[in-house]
Amino acid sequence: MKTLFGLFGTGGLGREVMPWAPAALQNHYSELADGNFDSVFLENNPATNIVNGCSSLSVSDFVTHSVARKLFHVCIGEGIARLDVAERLFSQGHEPAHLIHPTVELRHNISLGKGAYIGEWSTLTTDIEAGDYMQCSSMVLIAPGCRIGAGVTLSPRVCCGPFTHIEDRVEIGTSAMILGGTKDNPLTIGRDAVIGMGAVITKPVPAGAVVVGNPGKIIRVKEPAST
Amino acid sequence: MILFGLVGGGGLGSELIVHSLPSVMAKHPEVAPEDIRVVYVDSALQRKTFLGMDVLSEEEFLAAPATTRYFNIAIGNGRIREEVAKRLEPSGAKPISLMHETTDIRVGSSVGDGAIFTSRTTVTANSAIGRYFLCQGFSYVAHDCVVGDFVSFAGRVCCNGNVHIGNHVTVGTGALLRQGTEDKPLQVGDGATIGMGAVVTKDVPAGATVVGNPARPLSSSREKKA
Repeated sequence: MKTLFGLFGTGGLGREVMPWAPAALQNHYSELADGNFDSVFLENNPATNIVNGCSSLSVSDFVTHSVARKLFHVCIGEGIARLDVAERLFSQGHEPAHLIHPTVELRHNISLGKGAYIGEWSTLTTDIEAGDYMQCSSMVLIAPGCRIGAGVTLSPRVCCGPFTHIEDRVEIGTSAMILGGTKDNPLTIGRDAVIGMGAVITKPVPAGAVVVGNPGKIIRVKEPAST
Repeated sequence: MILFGLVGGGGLGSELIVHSLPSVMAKHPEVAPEDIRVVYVDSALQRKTFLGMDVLSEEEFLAAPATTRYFNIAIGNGRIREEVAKRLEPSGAKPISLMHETTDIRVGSSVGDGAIFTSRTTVTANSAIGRYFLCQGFSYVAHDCVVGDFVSFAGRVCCNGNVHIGNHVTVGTGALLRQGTEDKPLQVGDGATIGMGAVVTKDVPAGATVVGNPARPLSSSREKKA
């Protein structure tokens, strides 16, 4: 074994993903196609050594592990926490891995940042730019011309219409829909905004706004985050 | 001869007949497909065949020659599924789950007898599903959920993590259930009905019907209009 893959987080998403993560790595990385790598959960303080039949290591044991190549992926729903853990592991010399389910359809001209997550049955169409550690859950549809910032979380069944610009660390709830804009006038969802589950967004959303309902209404605006 | 009876020759039954033979074959890889007979069981259907399959009454189904007699129930109403199961199980017929080839039941999750999962349905990690669960196309049950017996999901239901659903609950098309937490799961009580497209953000009491975004009890939304 020359490669170790660490999946950070056993809170929920991590346990959902581990059953298919090795197949996704084999599918996406030609050098891993032979399956000659181990997959483990990573936690700050593992309560047990085994989670759902898979070993769980502490982050410190992973960092000091002697294997030649270490890949990681962070499964945390909350964008700021996910970026924090991922950037720490990256700065320690570990390699962020994409986890892209084998049923995902990626059409053309798609640029992914570091460590993208894309769940089953999602479709990314054309001319899409995604930032680092985007978490795009299952059955998501992203129309052409969308830009997605770093640490953005798209829950299952989100639909982003064409030319939607989603800034850093935005969280979009299950099955929310965004109308989209045009090439000259994209619809922007401002940094750190939160879109509630099932919301229907037809207008731009300012930074930090929390929007729910159909049509989407702002129910509050968060204090700007420090970073 | 293995006999499989699909109870209910309505719309759901016509959709599910294609799942039937593969599901029996998956359980009995040693049996040749021509030794498996698939029939509809429906006394109300006034015809001898439906979609190329024989239609039998329950009595005919239980009397027909078979080494093993399996059934499932293609009826949306969970209470009626329970009545049928209570009649057929003591007569020696065994429930068999119908799973589409794209259904994904992941590690640590369990599904009770007599389940139906149609295309692109998922049960992710560490969820426990009761008996005779009906889970229709594109619906999912996420991590750490508990689902009772005779629960029915229409298509595209999103049941997020840490949701506890009681027995005989019906969830309409495209309804969304908000994620709970380990300490405080979202609770949907026995016999509750969740309307199509509802966005459930709070616990739903037993027997209640909730609709809308955010979901509210149907009675109070009627009062508001009045």
